[in-house]
Amino acid sequence: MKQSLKAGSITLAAVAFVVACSSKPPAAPPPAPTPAPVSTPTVVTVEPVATPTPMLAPKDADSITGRSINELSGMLKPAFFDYDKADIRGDSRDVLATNATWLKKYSSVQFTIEGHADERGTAQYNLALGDRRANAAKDYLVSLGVDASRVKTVSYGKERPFATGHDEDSWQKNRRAHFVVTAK
Amino acid sequence: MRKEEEKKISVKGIRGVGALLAATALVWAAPVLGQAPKHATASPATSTAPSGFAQASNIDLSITGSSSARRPLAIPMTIAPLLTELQTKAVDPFYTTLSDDLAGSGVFVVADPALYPKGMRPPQSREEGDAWKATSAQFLLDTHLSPDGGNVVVEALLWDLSTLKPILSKKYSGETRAVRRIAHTLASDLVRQFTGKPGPFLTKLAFSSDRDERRVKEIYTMDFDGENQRRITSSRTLSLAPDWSPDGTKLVYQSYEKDTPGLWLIGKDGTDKRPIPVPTQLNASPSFSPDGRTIAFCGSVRGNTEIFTVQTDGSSLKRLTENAAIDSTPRWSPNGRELAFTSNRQGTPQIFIMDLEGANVRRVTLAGNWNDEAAFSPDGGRLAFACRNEGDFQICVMDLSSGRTMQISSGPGAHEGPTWSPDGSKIAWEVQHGSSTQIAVGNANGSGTARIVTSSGNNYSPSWVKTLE
Repeated sequence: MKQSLKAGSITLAAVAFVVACSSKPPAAPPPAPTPAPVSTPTVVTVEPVATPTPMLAPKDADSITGRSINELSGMLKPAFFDYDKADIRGDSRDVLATNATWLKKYSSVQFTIEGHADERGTAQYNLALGDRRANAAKDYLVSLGVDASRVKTVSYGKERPFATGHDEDSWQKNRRAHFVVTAK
Repeated sequence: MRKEEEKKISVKGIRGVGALLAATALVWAAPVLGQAPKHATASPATSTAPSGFAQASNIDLSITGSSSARRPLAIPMTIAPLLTELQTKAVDPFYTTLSDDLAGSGVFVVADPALYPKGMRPPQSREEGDAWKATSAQFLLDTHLSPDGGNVVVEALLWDLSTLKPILSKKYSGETRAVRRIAHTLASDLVRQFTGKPGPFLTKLAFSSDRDERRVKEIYTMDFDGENQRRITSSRTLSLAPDWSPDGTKLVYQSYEKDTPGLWLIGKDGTDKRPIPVPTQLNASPSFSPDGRTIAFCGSVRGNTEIFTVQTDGSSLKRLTENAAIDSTPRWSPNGRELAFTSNRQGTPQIFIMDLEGANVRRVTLAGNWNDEAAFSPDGGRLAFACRNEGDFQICVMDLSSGRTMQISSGPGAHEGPTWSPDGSKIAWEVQHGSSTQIAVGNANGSGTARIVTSSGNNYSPSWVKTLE
């Protein structure tokens, strides 16, 4: 567009110059000069940047909006322990890391970690063991960047079992650090 | 005759599915001393029967706890008017309670009633005395019960079958409803006659029960034989591990009724409940000191469980243990200077003893891979605890000077949480019995069979009062 305008204006200027400077009686004006051929401008198609507007954006699968506290508790998986131990073992490290990611994304969430034990120890010892497990899980989350002030711990020992069988399957299910969301 | 008092416990504000708490009347039977025995002895060579409180004859009264020292006693059925209602409401419960108490006492061995001669009460001749001795008895307990309005009167005579002299004479009176208590009082008086201190038959236990509501445990009290079970807390959450104050007026326990589990005090009738403010977490397994001023407990700081002591008003919190291991379940020695506790600091949970500074720590249990929940006998000479090598927990008793240990429980299921009667003759504990957990009471020397004294819901962590009567 610019080029043809430029060509046109030069032509016009040229014509004006010729007309102004001649003393002869004006002859029939020369035919309008054919504008110089303008090459078809190259149109470069630029991919539009996909910036979704908020109104149209899809909901995050793990969002806390519109979810009850109970539902949110389900977002945090339990970490399991070996017999008479409170060490965070390999599979529990992965679980806690996943929990930590979610917790750091939704940093308003407050939660409690319950420590549980299987039925085989005495009731009183298991309260102490449950307390160690809850705190071991808490310490691990804090080491991954979760703010300690968001976490409460409580031990239930063997008082609140999840599985009631008398076999290793049930016992393992009860040797856990269990997460409960208390505020979002 | 001293007028008996009646105590009624009101039950306001108790909720829960099928709340079973009924008003219970505790009635005191007033033994009356100084009554001459009704039937005079007929020994020609002796003077007239002694009046009032008779002296024991020259028998070896030392009781060592082994069965060879138990006195063979005949207890024929209580004599009473043959009124059906009296029999059902008074005579049968009285006689059963009396026999059970004495048979389980460890002081007496009861001769087989199938061998008893008819009549001959009291034995009035050498032949009659010998007829009783043929049952293997050395003593005869003759009891009479008679109605007195809404009350009953019980008269008891203990006869020495060798001398045919009564060596104990008692008379009791009380409401018919209190007839079991009369039996307990008589049994206790008999034991005192032979040992110098009363038997444990009037004492009470506290324990934790889930019978009222799912996922809820409340504190209960009951007579040592399972009668008069009464709920005293209404926490509607977990209330665990009660321990009696030495004077028997209140209990300390752990409860989850605030944000975080804490230590609580409550009067024995459920009144005057208050928390003991402590900055620690967990706050499990509280134990009253012998002077009633200090509570030892298992507290946690930043996930590390340690043994602490604190005054009952929350002051003077003191940490006694200091290591990364689990340290739990403290229990005072009767001398007030030491604590037994459980620790896995050397690998597996074992029992240790330390002083009140947390020093002089020494390991007590050497055998087995789990020893836990220690309790000192009232004289401090023995330790009862939950012991396990393979299989289930049982109850063991160790003599602390010799280290000799014996198992006093038997049978499948986990046996845990032993507590001593204040006279040191019995131990109560919790045991998984079938599909439920119940309180068992057995002899501290392991003799006889333990009796299950609870049945409703699941019942845990018994605590026996610390003084007799």
